[in-house]
Amino acid sequence: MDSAGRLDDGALDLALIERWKAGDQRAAAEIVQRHAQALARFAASSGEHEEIDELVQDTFVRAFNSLDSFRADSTLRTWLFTILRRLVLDRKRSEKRKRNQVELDEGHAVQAYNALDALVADETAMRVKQAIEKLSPLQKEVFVLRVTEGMAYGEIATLVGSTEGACRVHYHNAMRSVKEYLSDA
Amino acid sequence: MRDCPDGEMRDLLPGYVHRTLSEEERAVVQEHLEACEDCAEETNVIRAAIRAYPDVKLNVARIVKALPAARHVARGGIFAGNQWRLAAGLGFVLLGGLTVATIGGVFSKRPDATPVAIAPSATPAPGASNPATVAANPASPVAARGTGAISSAPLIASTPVAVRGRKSISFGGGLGDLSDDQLATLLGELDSLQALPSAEPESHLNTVIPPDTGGHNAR
Repeated sequence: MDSAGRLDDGALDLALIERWKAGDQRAAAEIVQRHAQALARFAASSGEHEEIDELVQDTFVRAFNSLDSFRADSTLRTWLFTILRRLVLDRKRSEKRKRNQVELDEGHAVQAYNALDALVADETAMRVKQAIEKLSPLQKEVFVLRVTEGMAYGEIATLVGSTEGACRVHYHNAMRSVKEYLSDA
Repeated sequence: MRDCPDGEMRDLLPGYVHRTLSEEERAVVQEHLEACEDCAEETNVIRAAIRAYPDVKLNVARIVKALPAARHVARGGIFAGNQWRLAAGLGFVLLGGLTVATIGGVFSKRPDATPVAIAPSATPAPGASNPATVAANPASPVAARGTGAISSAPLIASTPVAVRGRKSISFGGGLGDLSDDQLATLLGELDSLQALPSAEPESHLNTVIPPDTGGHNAR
């Protein structure tokens, strides 16, 4: 499958971590370069449209602050995605609380969504994105991680706290839903 | 759009698009795609989904700047991060050593005390042995048994050397206090001690000298 390349990636990450621990700050920059974009895409797919930069930065800061405790039970990439996922969930909970206090400006939200979509020039890509947005939160997470990041089911299962088999089912159901949406449109 | 019945092949499609498959797998998928319209369409969906989430503009330099500096972790093997434990252990050992030295000092203040094996006992407990007796005679079988022989009263009672030593302890004082007869007895005891085998069966000894009556055997 696609495990060989990922294993190499994992080994490279571990080597970079060791270099950073030995005092090489350039190793930290390399780690950020390797994973920042994927994290940003995942944040965007999770519905974060603003301050993605800060989310990604917070993810790395938290990760590096506790890098001594990183036991390499999972890959660094999975660990980073797990941290980001928690940050996104925390932010959503916080926003939900705010929404309960302040009336939501629906028009503004729609406008922001359309502005982002305008950046997506590809018509098919935009429709696929709309289809993905209609998936259940877990299906969406599994589908996006599998499709946009090429993650293995095992890695996704670790990240979302599920099983490999369940993630496989979620992925295929999600793919079927997206196809049906595209056929109906 | 329909689903290809080959589920395993469909599972390879994301890896095919991301170019993370091995050469062999890639060739197999390539061949399948040329014949399977469903999988070809699914591959297009995957490519479209990737385009749906384009790269986000990130200020990587700012992120790196916000990171904490690498901490130089002292890798001192087993002592890494355990300095306080090491200090506590050393303190404990020192305290123990001082205690032993103090107790030993008190006993050694007897004017006639000698470092000879048959020193008078300061502990009148019937089942107890004199550690100095054991320590001063490392060649004896008791000393070879180590601290267990000292702390275990039944074991000592069943050991001929300890019993014989206890007999001699009742002479009181050092060697200088012993009469000629007593010295002769003691030498006889020592001779018989050397003649004994280094390890006698415990059961035999227990029948001769029960551990709980050891104190009454002293002269």
